[in-house]
Amino acid sequence: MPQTADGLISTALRAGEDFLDRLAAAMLARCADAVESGDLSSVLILVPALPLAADLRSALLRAAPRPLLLPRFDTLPRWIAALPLVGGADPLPDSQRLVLLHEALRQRGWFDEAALWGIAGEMAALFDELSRAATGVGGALPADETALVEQLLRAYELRASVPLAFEARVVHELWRALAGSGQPDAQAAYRLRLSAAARHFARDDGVLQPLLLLLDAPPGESLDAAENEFLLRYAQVQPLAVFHPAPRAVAASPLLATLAAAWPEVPGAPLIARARELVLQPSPLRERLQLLPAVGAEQEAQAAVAQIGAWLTAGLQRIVLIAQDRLTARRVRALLERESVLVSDETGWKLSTSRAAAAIDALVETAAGGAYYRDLLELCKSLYVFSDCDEGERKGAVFTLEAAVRRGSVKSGLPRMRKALLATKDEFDDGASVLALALLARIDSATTLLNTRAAPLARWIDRLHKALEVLGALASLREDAAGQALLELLAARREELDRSAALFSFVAWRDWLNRELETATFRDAGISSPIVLTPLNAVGLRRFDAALLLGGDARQLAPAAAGQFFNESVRRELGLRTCADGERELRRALELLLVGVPRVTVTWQAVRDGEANLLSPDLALLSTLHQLAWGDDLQRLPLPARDETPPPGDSAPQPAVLAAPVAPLDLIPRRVSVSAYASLVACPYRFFARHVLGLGEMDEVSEDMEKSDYGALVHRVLERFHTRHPVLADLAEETALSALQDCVAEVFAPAVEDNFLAIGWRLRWEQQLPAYLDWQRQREAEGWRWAQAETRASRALPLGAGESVELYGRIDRIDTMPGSSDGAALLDYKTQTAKAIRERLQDDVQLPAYALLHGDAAQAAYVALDDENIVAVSAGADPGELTGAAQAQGKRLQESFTAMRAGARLPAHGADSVCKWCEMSGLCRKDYV
Amino acid sequence: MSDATDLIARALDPSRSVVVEACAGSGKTWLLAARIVRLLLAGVAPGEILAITFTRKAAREIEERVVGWLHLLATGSEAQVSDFLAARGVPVDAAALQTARGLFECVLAAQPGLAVYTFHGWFLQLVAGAPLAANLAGAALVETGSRLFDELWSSFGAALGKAPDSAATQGFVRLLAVAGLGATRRLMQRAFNRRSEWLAFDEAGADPAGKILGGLRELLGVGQADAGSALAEFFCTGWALDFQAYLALLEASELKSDQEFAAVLRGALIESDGARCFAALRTVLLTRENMLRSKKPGATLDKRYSPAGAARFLALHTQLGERLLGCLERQTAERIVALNQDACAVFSAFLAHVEAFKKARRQIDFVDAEWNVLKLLRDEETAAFLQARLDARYKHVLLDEFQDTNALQWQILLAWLAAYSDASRPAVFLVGDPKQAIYRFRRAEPRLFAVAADFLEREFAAVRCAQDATWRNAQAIVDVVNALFLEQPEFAPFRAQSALTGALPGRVELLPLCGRGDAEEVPEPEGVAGLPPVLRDPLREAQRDPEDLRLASEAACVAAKIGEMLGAAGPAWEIEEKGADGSIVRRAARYGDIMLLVRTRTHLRAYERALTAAQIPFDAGSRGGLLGALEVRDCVALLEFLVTPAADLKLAHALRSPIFACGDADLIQLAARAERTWWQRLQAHDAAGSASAPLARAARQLAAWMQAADRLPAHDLLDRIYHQGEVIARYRLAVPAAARASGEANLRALLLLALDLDGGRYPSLPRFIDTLRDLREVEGDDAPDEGVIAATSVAAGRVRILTIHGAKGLEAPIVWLLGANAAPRPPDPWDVLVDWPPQAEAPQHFSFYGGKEDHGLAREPLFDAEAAAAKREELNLLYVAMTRARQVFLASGIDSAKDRGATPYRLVEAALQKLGGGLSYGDTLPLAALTPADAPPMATCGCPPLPPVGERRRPPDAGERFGILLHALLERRTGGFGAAGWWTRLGFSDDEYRRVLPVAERLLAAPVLQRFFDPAQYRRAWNEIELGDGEGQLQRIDRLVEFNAPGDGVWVLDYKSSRSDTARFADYQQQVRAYCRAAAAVFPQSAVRGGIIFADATLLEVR
Ligand code: SF4
Repeated sequence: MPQTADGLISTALRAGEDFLDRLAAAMLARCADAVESGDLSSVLILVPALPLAADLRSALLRAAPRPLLLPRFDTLPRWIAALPLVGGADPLPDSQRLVLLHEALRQRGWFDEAALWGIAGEMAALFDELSRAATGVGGALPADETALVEQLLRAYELRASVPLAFEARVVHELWRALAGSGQPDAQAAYRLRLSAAARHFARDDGVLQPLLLLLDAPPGESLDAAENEFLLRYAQVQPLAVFHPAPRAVAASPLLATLAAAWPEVPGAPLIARARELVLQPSPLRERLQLLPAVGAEQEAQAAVAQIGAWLTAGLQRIVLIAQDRLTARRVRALLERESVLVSDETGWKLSTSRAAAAIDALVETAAGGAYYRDLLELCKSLYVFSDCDEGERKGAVFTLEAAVRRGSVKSGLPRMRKALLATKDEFDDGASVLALALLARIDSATTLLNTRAAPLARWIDRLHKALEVLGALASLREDAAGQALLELLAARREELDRSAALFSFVAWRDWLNRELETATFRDAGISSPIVLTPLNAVGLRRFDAALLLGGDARQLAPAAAGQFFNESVRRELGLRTCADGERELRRALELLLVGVPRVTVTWQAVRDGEANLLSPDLALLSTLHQLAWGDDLQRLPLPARDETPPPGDSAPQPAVLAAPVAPLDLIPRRVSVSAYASLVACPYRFFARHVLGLGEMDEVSEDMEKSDYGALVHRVLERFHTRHPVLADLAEETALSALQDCVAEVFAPAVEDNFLAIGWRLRWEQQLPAYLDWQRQREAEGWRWAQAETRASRALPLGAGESVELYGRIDRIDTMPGSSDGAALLDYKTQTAKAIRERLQDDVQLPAYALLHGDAAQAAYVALDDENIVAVSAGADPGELTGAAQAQGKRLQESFTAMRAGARLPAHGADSVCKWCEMSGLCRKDYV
Repeated sequence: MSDATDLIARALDPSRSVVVEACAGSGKTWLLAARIVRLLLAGVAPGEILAITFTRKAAREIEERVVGWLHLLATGSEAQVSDFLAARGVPVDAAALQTARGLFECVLAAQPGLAVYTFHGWFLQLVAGAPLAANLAGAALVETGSRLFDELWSSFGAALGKAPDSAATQGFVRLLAVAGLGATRRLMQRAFNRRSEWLAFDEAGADPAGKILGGLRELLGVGQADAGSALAEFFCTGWALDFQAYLALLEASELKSDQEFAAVLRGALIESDGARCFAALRTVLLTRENMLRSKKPGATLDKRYSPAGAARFLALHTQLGERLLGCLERQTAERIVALNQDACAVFSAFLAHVEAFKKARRQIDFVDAEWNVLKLLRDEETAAFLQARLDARYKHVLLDEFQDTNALQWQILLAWLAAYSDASRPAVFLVGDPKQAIYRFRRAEPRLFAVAADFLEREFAAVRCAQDATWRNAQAIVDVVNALFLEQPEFAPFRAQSALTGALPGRVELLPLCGRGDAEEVPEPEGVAGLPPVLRDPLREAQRDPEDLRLASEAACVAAKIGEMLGAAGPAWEIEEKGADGSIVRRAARYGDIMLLVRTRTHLRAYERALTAAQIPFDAGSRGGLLGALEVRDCVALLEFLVTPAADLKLAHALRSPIFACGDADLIQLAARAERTWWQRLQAHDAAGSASAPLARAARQLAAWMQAADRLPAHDLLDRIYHQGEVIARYRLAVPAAARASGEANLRALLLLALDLDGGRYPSLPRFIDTLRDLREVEGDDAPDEGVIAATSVAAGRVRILTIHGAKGLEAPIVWLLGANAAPRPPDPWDVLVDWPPQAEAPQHFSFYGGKEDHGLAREPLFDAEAAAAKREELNLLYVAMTRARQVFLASGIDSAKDRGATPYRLVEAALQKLGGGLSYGDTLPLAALTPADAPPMATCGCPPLPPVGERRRPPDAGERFGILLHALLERRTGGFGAAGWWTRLGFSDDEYRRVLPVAERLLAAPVLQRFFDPAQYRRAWNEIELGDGEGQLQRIDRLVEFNAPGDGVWVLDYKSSRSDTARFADYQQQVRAYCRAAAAVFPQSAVRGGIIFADATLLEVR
C-alpha cells in the first residue's frame, strides 16, 4: 500500500519472518522489464545497513523467476559519498574540526585546559545534531546570539539568566569560529553532496538508474530532511521505489496487533482493556518470546549459554546475540568458546580496550612517569615490543631486568635501572644482561622522542610512530587486528591533520590520543560464524533463527540518550532528538526483532550487585499485557546451566588436610640462622617452606619508606656513630649530639632524597637522639663500654652420630665491662616500644639464642627505641637465668633437629597472629583446614 | 479510627507535608512507597516526584516496591485492587479504580520518570545539569578512596620536597616533629574526608584556614603574637614572692615529703632556665596527671602551722597550684594554636595540590559534587537555571532515612527548596528514626531530624506523626528493648514501643560470657629451679594465644547453640513466617533464618572458622575480603607467576593449590633440583620423565597458559584457566563443605572482577595484577567484596554474618550479636573536631587535635558533645541489632577487663534483670515436628556436547593480499573510480600498492587483452558482477564483457595473480566453467566463453 510522507511515495510491507521474500517479490515486480531481460545490473538497491544486503540478495535469488545479473547494493550515505560529483567541497575532517574547536576554546580561556577536548567533542556532537535537524545547510541555529538566548529562555521558562546567556554565547561563538574555517563539516558536506547529486541526476543523460530503497521505518522517521529532499528530486527524473515494513499500528498480523496493544502510539484505554480485546485469539507471542530473570551476571551468562546450547542442539544455526550488556556478552562468548562455539562479533570493541592500545599506553605512561618501574616492566612484557628479538631471548632479558630492578629497589629512572643491571651483571647470564641493557637503550630513545616540546598533533603522531619503530613494535602491531586498526587510525589522523598547526603539549596530546582510542572501534573479522553478536538496532530486518538479548533491564535496554546539551523542551524547540524519539526507536527495534525472529529470549539480572533491577519498561508492559490477555507473563526459569566446568581429570585433589610434611635428610639445612630457628618455633611448616624448600618472596621495589626500612637506617646510624665514638664519656654533650646528628644526616640522606616523606622518619629518630645519648651515658656510668657492632657469631650444636647443626646470627651490638670478669652484654635495637617488646618477651627466641651463640653473655637485652626514654629490656633477670634460657633454646634446637632428621613431621600450626602475615599461607593451605 | 489507620490517613495525605518518626520494623518503606502510589493516584505525574534515600539498594527497593504494586493494580482482580487501595486510605470508587489500573503503564512510560535517588545520585544529576559556566563539564566522578589518597599523599610529599623553603613545607616539617609521619598523614586524611565542612566553614569560601585560626585563637584566648608568652607571663616580676612564702611554710613542716618538696622548690627558685624552673614548680604542687596535690585541712595541719597559718598554707597551695595550672592551660592553648597553624597551612597546601591533581585529570569526587551543588544552589541565578535545566519540576519531595542525613546535605535541601517560588513550593514527606542513626563516621547528624521537623512544621505546615509499633519484633523482644532503652538517659526521648505481632513467640537470651576460666589454659612452662626451663616442642605443640582461646570458645558455643536450635540432636526450634497469602506458616528453623551480627569485623575469622569446623554453611560477612580469600589468592599467584616466571614462591603456591593439587612431596622434588628457577626445575623435571602426574600436568598446562598470557585479556585468560584447569570442579573437592559455596562464589567473583577491570581502558595482565595488589592493600570499602553465593546452592540457606551497619534494613527470625561484651574503642587521637550545629548554615568550629592532653579546656565542651554523640550511637547500634530479630535475639561475648558495665552484653543483662532476672526472657520456642531435609543438589544439565560452530579465519597471507589488491585495482581502473589513496582505506600499504600497480598496468596495456578493457571494443562490461542462476545459487564474476558482434558473444573473465603455468590450472578451469554455465543462462542468445587472465598478461580460454 503506497504511502506518502512529505511527498515521497513509499510502500509499506507487512513485517514478519517472510518480509524479505515479499520484499524481493515486490522489488522484482517493480523491475519487471529488467527481469525479463535477465539484467538487473543497472538497478541499485539501497539498504539501511550493509549486513542486510546479503539476506536480501538471497531472497532475490530465491524469488527470481530466471537467471539474472543481480542488482548492486549499497547504503544511501555510502553511495552518495562515492558518486563522482563535481564541485562538492572537501569536508572538514572531524578530527580537524575538533582541533579547531579546541583552539577556539583555548583562545577564549573560558574553561580549564583539561576540559577542552571534552567540551569541544560535545560541541561537535551538538553541531552535528543541529545540521541533521536542519533542512538547509547552516544548521538550525538562530542567526544571532540574542535570538538564541531568547529562544532558550523561552524554552527554559526563565527570565534573564546569566548562565544561560553564557551557554548561548559559547555555542554561537564556536559555531562562528567553525564557519570561519570555510570548509563544511562532514554532516554539512553530506548535505551539500546530496543536493549536488540531485543536480547531477537532474541532467538527463538518458541513462536509467532505477533506485530501490529499503528503509526500516516510514520515510518520515528514517530519513532526515535533506535525504528526503534528494529522493524527491531523484524521483522526478529516475525510477524510484521506497519500501519499508508496516508499523505495528497497522496491526497487519496478530503479533503486530499484540505489540500495538502493548505499545500504543497514543495512550488510550487501560492496559487491561486492551488485553481483553486480544484474548480472543491464541497468543502469537507465547512461542516466540521468553523472559529469563537471573541473579547476577554469572547466572545470566550461564542462562544465555544454556539457551544457545538448546537452540544449537535443536538444529538452529543463525543465532543473533544482542549485547545490551557488553560485559555479560563477553562472558557468554568465552563460555561458548570453551565448547568450540565461536561468535562473530559485528559490534567491535573500543580500541582502548585492546592489548595493543595497552602497549601504547604503557609506552606513553613510561615516558610520562619518568620510567616508573611498573610501567616500564609492563611495556617490556608486552608482546608487541621488541618483536624483532628472539622471543626466548627477549623474555630472558626482561627477566633479568626485572630481577635487577627489584634487587636494586629502583622505583623509576632509566639511568638507575641501568646501574642496577650492571650491579647484578655477574649473577645472570651475560647475554641476557647485555640484551636487557640494549632494550633499556631502546626504551630510552623511544621515550626521549615523546618527552619533547609542544607540537602539532601530526608531529606527535610521527613521534609516536617513530617511538614504536624504535621499539620494534610496528611489525607486531600490524599482525594483530587491533594493532592494525590502531596504526590505520593514526595514519588516517596523521593525514587529516597534516596542515593543522595548533600546538599541543604532551599532556594535551595524550588526552587527545586517549579520546581517539576511546572513540575508535575495531572488529576482529577473523571469525566467521552463523552466530553473530550485534547491537539491537542492527538486527533490523535480517533473518535469524533465534535471538538472545542480554541485559534486558531498565538500565541497559533503554532508549539511546539524547545529546548532552539542553533539556528536553529546548531540544524539542530546536528540533533536536528528544527522549521520545529514542523511545520510539527502541520500540521500533524491539518490534522488528520480535516480528522478524521466530524465537527471542531476553535475559536480565533481576538482582544485580545485590540490588533489585527492574525489567525494561517496554518488556514489562509486554509481559503484563500478555499476562492479562493469556495469563502468562512470559517469564520462565532459565534452563539448567550447562556443565561449564569439566569434571576433574587426572590427579584430582583431595580434601585439604593439615599439612605436615617430612623433610628429606639432604634438604634439611645444616646451618640455621637465629631467625630461621625462630620461624621453626613459631610454625614448623613455615620453616619447611622457607628453609627446606628454600622458597622466599621476591624482592619488592619499596615505594614508600616502611617501618622496617626505618629500623635498618637506625641500625646503620648507631653502628656508624659508635664506631666513630666508642666512648661517650670523652665527648661534650653538644659534641656528642651533633656527631650523632651528623650520622643521622648522612645515613638518611639518600632515603630523603628519594622520597621527601622519609623526612618524617628522620625527624622521628632525631627526636630520640638526646634520650638515646642519655641512655648511653647511663650505660657507661654502669661501666659498660660499646665494643662491637654487627658481630657475626655461630655455634655448632651436636646432634649425635657425628652430625651437627650450626646456629648463626648477627648481634647488633656487644658491650663489655672493662675490668670485670662478668660476661658481655648483647644488645639488639628495636624500633618498638618497651611495652610491646615486654609483651612478647615470654616467647622470645632471639636473645637467648644470641646468648647461646656468644657463649659468655651476662646480659642480653632489646633496646627499645620508640619511647620517650630509651630503655633496655633484658631477657632473664640475672646472668644465670639467661644462661639457662640459652641452654634451653640450644637443647630445643637440637631436639627439634634430631626429630626432624629422624622423620618427624613439620605441621602447619602457626598461631593466628603469625599466620596473618605469613607468606607461606598459600602453601600450607591452613585456611582450608 | 485506629492508630494505624489514623497514621495512614495523615501520613499519606497527598496535599500535606508530613514528618514521620517511625521505629524499627514499623514499615517505613511501606509508608514511603504507599505515599508515592497515593500521589500518583492523585494525579501527580511520575516526573514530579523526587524520593531520596540513603543507599542505592534502598532506592532500588522502593522503585521495585512501587512498580510491583502498580503491576498488581494493573492486573489484580477488582477485589484485590479495592483492598489495596483501602489499606492505603484511598476511598474506593470507579474513578479511583480506573486511575489505579492505568498507573503501571503511566509510570513505566513516563518521561521523565519517577526519580528515586540516593543523595549521591541526585547530586550527580545536579552536577551534570550544571551550567557550562560552572566549569564542571566533562568531569568524571572518582571515589577518593584510600588508594587515590595514597597517590595524592605521596605526590604531595614529593611536591613539598621540591619546595623546601615554602611555608607549607616548613609547617609540614614542624608538624612531623610534633606528630610524626603517621599522625600527620592521618590528620590530613581525616581533614580531607571532612573537607566540605572545611570549605563550608568560610562561607565566602575564600580563606577557611584564616577563619579557622581566628576562631580558634578567640576561643582559646591566644593572640597572634602570643607564642611562648604563657611562660613569660608566668614569670612576671615578683612571681617568686608567693613561692618563697610557700617554701617557708614547707620548710617549717616535719614531714619527709614536705622536706623533699621544699628542696625541689628551693632549687627551682634559683634555677635560671624558665622551662626547668617551671617543671620543678610543677612537681611540687601538681601530680603527674596535673592535679593539685591534695592537702587536707585538719588538726594535724592546724597543729603544725597554727590554724591561721594552716589556712594561709592551704590558700597559698591552691592559689599557686591554680597559677601553675593556668599557665599549663595557656601553654596547651599555645600548642593547640601552633598545631592548628601548621596543620591548616599544610592542609591548605594539600587541598591545593589535590585540586590541581584532579583538575588536570578532570576528576571530581563525591565531596566535590556535594560542595559544588551547594554553591550552585546558593546562587540564585544558577539555582533557577538548574531547576529549569533538569526536566523534572518536583512537586513532591520524599526523604527517607532522614536520620542519616548530614549537615551539608540538609543545607543543600534547604537551598533547593528556597529556589522554588512560594507558589510552586513542593510538599515534603520526611521519614526516619533518630534511634537508628549509626552513620556518624559518614558525618550523619541525627539531631537534624528534629531541626528539619520543626522547619517543615513551621514553613511547610507539615503534620507530625510518630509510629512506635512494630510489625516485626515479637513481644518478648519489644519488652527487652523497652526495659533496656527506657533506662538510658542518653537515649531520650524514647517512647515505649509496642508489638503488632500478636502471639508470635519470642525470646531474648544471653550466653554466659566466655571467661578466662572457660578456656583451656596453657600451662606456664616451668623449669625446676636451677635447671634450664623446658620449652614447648614446636613440632608437637602449637603456640597459642589466650585471647584467641577465649574467642574460639565463644565461637564454639555459637556453633553448638546453632546446632541446638536447628535440631542437630533432637527437634529444631519452630519458626513462624507469613505465607504469600498472609497465612501463618510454622516450620523448623534453618540456617537461612539466622543472622550473626558483629560490631566490627576484627574477629570475624575466628567465628567463621568455628562455623566451618561445625559444618555450618555461612555467607561470609567479611566484605571487602575477596582478594584475601585463599582460592582467589591461588589464582592471583598463578597469574603472577605467568607474567613473572621468576616468582618461585608464586609457582609453588599455584602448584599446591587445588588447581594442580601437588603435594609437599612434589615440592620437595623440585627443591632438590639445581636449575636456577623453579619453573626451569619443573620443566626439566618433566622433561626427564621423573615428574609425578600432578607435576607433569602442571608443567604442560603452565607452558600453554604462559603463551596465552601474552595474548589474552585477563578475563579470557582466567576463563581458559578455569576451563582447562577444571578449576571449579577441583575446588569442590578440596574445600571443606561449609566453605565450598563461598569458595566457588569467590572464584566466580574473581572472574567477573577481571571482566570488569578488563572492560576498562588499556587492559594488560601486569596492570591487572598491579591493580589487584593495590586493591588488596586498600582498607575496607574500596576492596572488592566476596562473591555472592547463588541462592539455590543449599536449600536450607546459610547463616549470614554481617556487621550491624550491614544489617540495617534487614531482619531475620533469629539474630545473634557476637562479641557483645567488647567495650567500644576509644576515639583515636589526631583528628579534626568539627561542630556544625544542625540549625547553622555553616560549621561553627573546625580545628585539629592531637592527644587527649591537648584537647584544651576551651574545647572540652565540644569533645564532651562528641563523646556523648558517640555513646548515643553505640546505643543506637544496639537498638538496631536487637530490632533486627523477629523472634529470637541472642548475645554472647568474652569476659573483658574493659567492659565497665556499659557493653551491649551488660545492658541486655541489666534489662533481663529488671524483667525478672536470669539469662533469658520470653517464651521457650516450640519445637518443630520435623527437621528439614536438605534438598538434593542441583541437577547438572547433562546436555549433549555442542557441535562446533564457526571457524577462525586465518588472515590472508602476502600472496592472497596481492591478489585481492590486484582485483580491486583492476576493478577501479576499468570502472573509472577510486579516490586517491583508496587502498589505504582497504588496509593496504603504499608498498603493497606499488608492487601491484605494474602488474595491473601490464594487464591493462597488453594487446591481447585490449578488447576486454577498451570500451570502444565491446557493448557492455561489468566488474565484480553477481549472477543468480535461477535456482538460488550465486556466482560472482570478476569481469563480464558483452561484445557487439553476436559471434563474439559474452566473455566471462577471471583474474589470477599467479602466472599461467600454475599448478592449480585445472581447479581454475572448473570454476570458470561454472561461471560460464550461469552466464549462459542469463544470456541464452549469446555464445558464452570463459577466460582466465594471469598476472603475466596471458589469457587462457577455458573450454
Ligand atoms: S600460614 Fe600459619 S600455619 Fe601456614 S605456614 Fe604460615 S604460620 Fe604456618
